[in-house]
Amino acid sequence: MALIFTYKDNEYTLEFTRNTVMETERMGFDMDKIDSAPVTSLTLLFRGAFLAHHRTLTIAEVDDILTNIDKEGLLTALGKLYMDAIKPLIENEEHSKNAIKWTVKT
Amino acid sequence: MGGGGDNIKAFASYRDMFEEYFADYLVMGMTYDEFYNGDPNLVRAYRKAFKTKLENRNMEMWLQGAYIYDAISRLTPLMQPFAKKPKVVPYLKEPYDISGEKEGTESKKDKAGTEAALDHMRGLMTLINNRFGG
Repeated sequence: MALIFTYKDNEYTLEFTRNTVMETERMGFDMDKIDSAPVTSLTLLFRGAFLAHHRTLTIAEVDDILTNIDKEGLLTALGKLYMDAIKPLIENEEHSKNAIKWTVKT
Repeated sequence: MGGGGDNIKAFASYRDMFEEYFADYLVMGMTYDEFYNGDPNLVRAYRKAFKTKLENRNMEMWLQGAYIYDAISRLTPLMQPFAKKPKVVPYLKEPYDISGEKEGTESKKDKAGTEAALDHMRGLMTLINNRFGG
């Protein structure tokens, strides 16, 4: 899964690899602090999501995109991207097959 | 192996967790670049492939046992101490048809050989049991 958008005629693909998860973690991002520090978490997660495909961008350029991007649901989407790099390691296929399926209604 | 999900340990960081799991995936043939920089979902394919590889290896070992058993069975006439003219059944002319494509074409000689060898083996076992009260 990836988050794709175009800004100033450039197409950006945001996603995480296990390497960029570690780099984002090194930058100070902590999944457990998303609720207590959502703004810092969003900034760090957003910067980290560029590392897989747009490593040459400067922090200022990434922050400029963050300023202009629609932030509705962005933190959740980035959190999901982040977890996508981790989940395949800890899942249990047999258990997943038999697990109770659930949906969210709004 | 990684991805078990049953033994999720508490890790101080994702880095520690990845390092812990990476050794398992190295055994499965995954490279450093694939694990750390590649598609995160690739580990699923490696787990599946590794499981298949283990199953195939298990099957190979079982098949090898079957060939050995067959070969010994064919030699049993020689093991009968009081047999006047022991006749050894020759080894299989062809490998077993594990694909099932040659079903029904197994040479009559081979089939008869297997049956005869098994009969000898049964006879020998009965003789031993009678003699030693097994």
